Amino acid sequence: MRNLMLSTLTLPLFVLALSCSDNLDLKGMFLPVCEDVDTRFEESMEYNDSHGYETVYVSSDDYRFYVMTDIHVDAKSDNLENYVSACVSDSEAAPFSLCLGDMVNARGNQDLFFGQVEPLLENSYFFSVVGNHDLYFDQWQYYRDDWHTSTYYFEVVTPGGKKDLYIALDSASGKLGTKQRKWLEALLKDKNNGEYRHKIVFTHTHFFKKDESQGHTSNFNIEETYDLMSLFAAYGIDLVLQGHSHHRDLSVFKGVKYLRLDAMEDHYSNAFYTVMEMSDDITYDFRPVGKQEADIKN
Amino acid sequence: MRSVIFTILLLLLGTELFAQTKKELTIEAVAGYSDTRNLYGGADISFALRSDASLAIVNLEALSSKDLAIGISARPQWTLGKGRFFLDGTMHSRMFASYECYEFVYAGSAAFDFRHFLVQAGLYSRMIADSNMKWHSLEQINCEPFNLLYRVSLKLKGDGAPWDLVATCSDFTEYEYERHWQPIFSLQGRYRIDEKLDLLAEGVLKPAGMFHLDASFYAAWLKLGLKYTF
Repeated sequence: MRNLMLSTLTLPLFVLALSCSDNLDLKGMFLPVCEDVDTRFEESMEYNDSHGYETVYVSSDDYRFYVMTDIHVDAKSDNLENYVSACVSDSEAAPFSLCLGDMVNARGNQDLFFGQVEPLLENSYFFSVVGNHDLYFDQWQYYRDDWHTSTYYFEVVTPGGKKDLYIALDSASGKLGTKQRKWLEALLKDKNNGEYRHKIVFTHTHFFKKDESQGHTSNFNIEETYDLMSLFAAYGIDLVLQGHSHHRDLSVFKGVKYLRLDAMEDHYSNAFYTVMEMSDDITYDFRPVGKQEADIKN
Repeated sequence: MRSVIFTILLLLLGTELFAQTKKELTIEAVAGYSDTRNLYGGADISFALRSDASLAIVNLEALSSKDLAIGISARPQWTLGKGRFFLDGTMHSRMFASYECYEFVYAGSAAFDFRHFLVQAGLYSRMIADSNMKWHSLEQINCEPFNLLYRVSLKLKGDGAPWDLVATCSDFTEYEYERHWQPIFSLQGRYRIDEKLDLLAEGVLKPAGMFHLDASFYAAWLKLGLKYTF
């Protein structure tokens, strides 16, 4: 009886404490915390229609690029600083990098993130997608002001005339939404002409839930997972890059590779970023950053 | 775990053939909408063998776009005060012609079922397989080994009443098993027409993104049907 009373008293206090958190927008348990995914898609398309889709020219048929995810910038951003430094100083890296979302951890940190990645923007493209934390406390507007779009595609063209297609999807709400899903299928049909060496999808939410590392993170409803897996397989997607769960994993299903990346946040003991090597094959290298990097050096 | 559940199911089903049982046949029409399927329709059929000590159920669902779900459950149960305690072992499969894949689910749970309140909790494993896979290919199988299974129901009138309203929050139904971060909310009504026939109606809502902390609508469906006890 005592335990029941204690639990009854503790639970509301716990909920109250969480509701005051700057990191978790509990209103989102019941309602959208910002513009819904269909509205975000429309705003992304508005930008895409007026600005077009990028084509990135690389200097070699085989190239590499940097990817980070789940940076969760708040008061500290040392790992991000190290990542930017590594990226900028790699003279052989392609002139673009990817960010798979959850740039910030709490409200009001988008400016801090933007300031830290500014060196990356000087001579290269920065392609990002929105993560669920980037939406909390109605912050989609800040993501949109800085990065403009979260559903788009870009092409990479090599000197030998090879082309790779990269498709960015907004999965920050745990679903694609009907409009984005329709756009995706139309794009995949249109680009299914044999002209691409590789087709890569990158998004925030992970698809599979294979072990306890994904036990604490939600993802798509199971039927939407099946639908998208079937779509990716039907149109020859080679690789799907994801974040969200903070643990790396490689799954292969229906001939499509699903690569989930480690987080890069400062508070995380296993912080890594990823360097993708694109040739006729796709390979990758996880590189430690922060405490993990210091432990390895020592 | 699979072989244990399968053995329990076989033993119970075998026993039921020789025991005095009530039989229940439930047929329901389904109409719904989801972001993935758009509008869809289908039928649910459930057959149950019920005795004082146990319940064995076969569930079958057919939805438009040639998708099929089939499940078999066994529930030994014991009287507990004014309610009952039961264990549930379930094997369930869904086959999606639309997505060219299928899944197997193996679930085990325990429940306390009282007049106005039911709580059920357990674990389930899911195996996802490509319909086109070659028999020796391991790459076409994906396992989600452990998902939490839960159901909480509040019953207005309780079992045995001539009518009832039951509100439920769970991550599974007789016909689908969702990941534990994707709850399903339902409100079911039952009206006893006579001692053999019940009218059933149910409305179900499935959101997306609740535990992404950006909840929005994903799917909803209605069911209307009859349960015949003989």
